[in-house]
Amino acid sequence: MINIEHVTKKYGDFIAVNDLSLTVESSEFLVILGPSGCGKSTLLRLINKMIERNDGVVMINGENIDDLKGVELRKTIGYVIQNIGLFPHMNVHKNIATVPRLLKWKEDTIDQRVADMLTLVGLEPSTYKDKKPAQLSGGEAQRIGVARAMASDPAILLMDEPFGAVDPINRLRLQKEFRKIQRKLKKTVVFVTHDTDEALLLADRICIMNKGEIVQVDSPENIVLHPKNDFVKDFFKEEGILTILSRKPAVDYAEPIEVDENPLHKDATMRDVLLKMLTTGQDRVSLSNGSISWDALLQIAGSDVHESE
Amino acid sequence: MITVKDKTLLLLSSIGAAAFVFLNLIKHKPNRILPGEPYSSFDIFGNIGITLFLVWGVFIVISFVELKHKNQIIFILTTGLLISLFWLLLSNVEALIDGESSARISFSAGFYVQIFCIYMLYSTYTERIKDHTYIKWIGLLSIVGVFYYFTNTDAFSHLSLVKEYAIKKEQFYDHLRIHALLTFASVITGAIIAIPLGILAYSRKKLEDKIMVPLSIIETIPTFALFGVLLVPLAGLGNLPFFEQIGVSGIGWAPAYVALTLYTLLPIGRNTLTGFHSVDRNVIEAAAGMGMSNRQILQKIELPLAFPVIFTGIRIAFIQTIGGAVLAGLVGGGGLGTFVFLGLGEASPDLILLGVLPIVFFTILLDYILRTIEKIIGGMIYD
Ligand SMILES: Nc1ncnc2c1ncn2[C@@H]1O[C@H](COP(=O)(O)OP(=O)(O)O)[C@@H](O)[C@H]1O
Ligand SMILES: [Mg+2]
Repeated sequence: MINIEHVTKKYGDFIAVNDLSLTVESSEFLVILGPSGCGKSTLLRLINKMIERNDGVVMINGENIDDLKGVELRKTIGYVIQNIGLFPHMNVHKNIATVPRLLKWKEDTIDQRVADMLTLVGLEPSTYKDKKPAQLSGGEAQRIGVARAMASDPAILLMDEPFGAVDPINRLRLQKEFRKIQRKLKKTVVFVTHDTDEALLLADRICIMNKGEIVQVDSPENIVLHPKNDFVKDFFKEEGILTILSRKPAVDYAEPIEVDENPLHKDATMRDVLLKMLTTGQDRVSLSNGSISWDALLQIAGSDVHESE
Repeated sequence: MITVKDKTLLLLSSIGAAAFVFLNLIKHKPNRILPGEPYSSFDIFGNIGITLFLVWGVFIVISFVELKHKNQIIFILTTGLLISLFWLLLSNVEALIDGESSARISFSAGFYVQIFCIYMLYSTYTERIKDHTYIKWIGLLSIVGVFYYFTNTDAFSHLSLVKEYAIKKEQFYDHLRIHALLTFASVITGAIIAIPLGILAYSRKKLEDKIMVPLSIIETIPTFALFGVLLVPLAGLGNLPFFEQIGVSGIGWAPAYVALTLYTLLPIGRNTLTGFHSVDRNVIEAAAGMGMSNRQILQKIELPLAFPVIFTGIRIAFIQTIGGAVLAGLVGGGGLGTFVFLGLGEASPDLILLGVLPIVFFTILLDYILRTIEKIIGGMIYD
């Protein structure tokens, strides 16, 4: 758990983070979202003491980070920087082994760990471990960056626009895979982005920032359906609801009514259901475990409205 | 319309051709002191000379056309030209000398200019040969082979330069050794001082100017002035027992060594600074973010990544120092410069060349070796 209490960071007279308080629960995927220059990276770097605060307190698992040496603290927190920053003179194996080596793990433990990490991020260890960063595609490099940050199995991961440099198709795949990994390993993740779709897809909670301050912290549904003010509303526009639907597995909402038609695939989301209705004109779509109707779909999109009103 | 396709080739071959026609090739001297009688390329080569001249002409023509395998063709022709030039020259020397043991042949401007053009062509077009690379090795081996053959001929021993060498053989190797020693010692000392200075200038922004500006100023001090400045302190130092024992004094090797070392500080220090600045900030940020200490970042990340640039600085320092070490001859420091200044005093161009030619040769050789190492290091670090 990370507690950020009344933290302020100034660069000269410029206030980059202003009296900000935020709690990140254990195993939570928290996304910090905001326009460029609003202080997202700064906030992230305050957590692992890459930069010093001017005011306020940061606690990690109940321990004040001021009681810890920066170098030691950072070995226990995974960190993926905005531009990956793989070491160009080291191969993939050595890159991933960085923190385990700093922690003086045994070599054979490290070898095993590197192989596991590569498998985890979907890269074949024997193919990739000897490659140099220059030989990797943008997507592969991002995966290695994530693998490197997780190599020592830190409970907390700080990620600064980790998928920023990947093309849209690979980005979506990486996002989905990473979301799965996070669920499986129950990491506490603080994830910075300025991409609204990415935030809605990944987050347990989204923290919207502007000009060094928090505007709203809430679940993706609530952020889209109940924006606190025009700033948040303008940020998501109307399409936000589509991303919300894409987070909901259709099978979770199936009604036990059989329809005589090919069902949607098992992993289909409510967004796929909506698309099917729009393209075919049907008002009921078949699923592997029943079906779902147009009215039900509307209710699902609106159900959140009733809950929070 | 006719357009120039290869300006380098046109320039070099025009100069070569002009040197062939207008400049004297050699001088025939009855003995070491008397001025000689000049001979032009046509005088020496006679009718065959037309063929050599035509090779220069062919180069000029080639520079106006597109040609398949151009680099290889130029390389082969250049190799042939070089070998024929020597072959014909040496086979005509015997006749000129005509059995007089004190007579000698010395090269004139026409010879040096043509050799220079041939060398430039050689280095330009070997670089460009990308396929059929075995040609390079055949060319190189045939030149080495032919030269080896020439060094054992009588004609070769009549060359004035060879005569000077024969007289000064022992001194030559002593001075060559001193020259090499001075060069290596200065560059290594320079590197030991300048690399930490460069790192300091990088890591303490405030010190950058305080370090780099003096290094730049040193570079602008003329060698004579520097020797003058060093004279007094080194003479003083030479009075202390230890320094007296190792031969430190206001003249000799000590001022040469100190001056040469000082001159290497800028190229090495500046390249160290540039090398460190060229390391991607993101890479350093990532290293720090994973809990590396400043020291670990320096050792494991910055130094290896900056090293190729630093090494380039060391190469530049080497090239500069091999040439600069000539000036050691001025203050009695020894080295090949001794011949140069002796030759200047005696107005003996061949003695000067005895000093200069090995310097040119070793500069080219060392540059080639260090560039090769540079590529290998770069490859190890990035591929
Ligand atoms: N080292 C620094 N010195 C001065 N200003 C900085 C520094 N780092 C960041 N800033 C400023 O602080 C603000 C927030 O930066 P940052 O946290 O990087 O924004 P982002 O939300 O895009 O990640 C920006 O206006 C930036 O210019
Ligand atoms: Mg940022």
